[in-house]
Amino acid sequence: MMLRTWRPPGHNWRAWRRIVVLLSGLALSATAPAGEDWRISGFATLGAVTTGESDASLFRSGISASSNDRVDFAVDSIVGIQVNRQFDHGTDITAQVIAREDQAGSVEPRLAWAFARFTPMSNLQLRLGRMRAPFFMYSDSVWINYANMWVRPPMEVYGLNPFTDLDGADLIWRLDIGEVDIEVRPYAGRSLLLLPNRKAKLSRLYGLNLTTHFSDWSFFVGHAESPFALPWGDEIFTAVDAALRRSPYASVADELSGKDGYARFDAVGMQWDGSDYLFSAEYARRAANRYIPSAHGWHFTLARRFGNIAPYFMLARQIEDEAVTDADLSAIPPLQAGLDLFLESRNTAQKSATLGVRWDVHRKAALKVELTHAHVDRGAWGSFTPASDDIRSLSDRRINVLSVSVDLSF
Amino acid sequence: MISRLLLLLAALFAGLPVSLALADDMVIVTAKSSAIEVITQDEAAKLYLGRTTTLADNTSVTLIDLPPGAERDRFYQALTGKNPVQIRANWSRQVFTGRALPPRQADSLEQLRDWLLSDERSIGYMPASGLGDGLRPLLVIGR
Repeated sequence: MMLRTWRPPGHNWRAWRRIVVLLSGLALSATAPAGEDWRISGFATLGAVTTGESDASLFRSGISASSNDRVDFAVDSIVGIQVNRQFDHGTDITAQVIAREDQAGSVEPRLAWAFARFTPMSNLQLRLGRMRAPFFMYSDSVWINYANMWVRPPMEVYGLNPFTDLDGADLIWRLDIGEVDIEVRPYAGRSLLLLPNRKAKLSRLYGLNLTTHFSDWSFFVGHAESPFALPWGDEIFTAVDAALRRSPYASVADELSGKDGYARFDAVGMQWDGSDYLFSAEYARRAANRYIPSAHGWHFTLARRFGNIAPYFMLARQIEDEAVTDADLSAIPPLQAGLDLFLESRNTAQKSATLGVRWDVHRKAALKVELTHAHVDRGAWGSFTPASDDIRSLSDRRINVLSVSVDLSF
Repeated sequence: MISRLLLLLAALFAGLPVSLALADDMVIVTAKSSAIEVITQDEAAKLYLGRTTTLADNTSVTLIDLPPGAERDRFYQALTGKNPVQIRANWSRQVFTGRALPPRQADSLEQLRDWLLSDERSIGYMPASGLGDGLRPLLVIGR
């Protein structure tokens, strides 16, 4: 999902300054002797991204705000602090606060995880509270860049569903069959995604995941579905919506934005994490009846470890299956043109090839440098947003992206 | 002498030829007074990879790590087959996704010993040569 607003560069330096203060506090607390009962830990990424084009900036749809800055520090940068407390009788609590730019451009710290876990049997856990909505194989660690090989998860796949929170309950049931671990994870709850002055919502989310670990192999299958609300509020939507509602095609406006959507998500993934090689691949699909296109995406990633240095290569693709609407407004050409622009700006289809290297420079820090060559589909904006007022310029474009990040885990 | 004997017994239970339980082999240890009686290599690997937080009988276990260094790396490599880079990435994933509590990191062998003796639900690892009074070997990890 996308929402494009144009902001002056450097609009949230003040917020980032607060994060530096937060980080300093954490660094101090980490050097204090840890209590026996409370554990404090943290992670952070400082990332910088630039595209090879002056009129396009990288845009993590539904995740970060768009930026006109030539070098964008907000796309990947994040700070997280976590506390854990273990009680007797198989109960523990986890709370994690993260600060990163959200889609509304705010860097307010927010609760990413806050749950109580009950372990009635060694192979069964019940968790209540705020967890991560586990739509994809790496959903749980989507902000933990230190745990991942890439600078950020492939947007062609992970951009299909930007909702991260699951406010509700999940059950983790583990079956050990010989050397094969099978994990069954049903979950239910709801999820909110903050847009500028608005909230998108998965209101009754149900899902089931199966994960299998065998030696260095992992396999993942997941399905989820939910009614959803998606109130677009960006300039393109607002203009098209207003024009439609004054035209004979007022009903088309109801297909673009509102509270009556229904979406299904499916994902399958595999990983092979050997000593020398890491291979992972994932396919995911989003089927929505309105407001956002139905689309699917995949990636293949191969990394080779040479001690602390690991070059990696990734191929990724997202394809739009069905546009938000197929309404024919050609009787009123300006209206059709407006609708086409709206549809194009919601379509994130593209293909990309990425070459990168991860260097574990320290036991708590990894440096990553990544070059992506993306080819945006015709009639799409891909993973980019215009950095100028020429907003028709992204379709069918080839854009290079250079990303550099330092990931910490402490 | 007694700890040496127990070590040999533990090695037998672990299915390793006793002759391989050399002084610098890593052993998983707990306090003699601990209720933890046995641990299999599979259980130990899952605990130290953060994939489980309890033993088969649902006893929750506090894990203790040695300070970063060659001995710690050697232990993880022998127990899980994973190199230090993989282990660190894995633990950051397990911890920050709320799956497992990070192992408590002892500053030294002495601190590890103190912690094991003061918390009967805890397990740690050390070179077999470091075993002293009050500790009981549970499992020998080959090199």
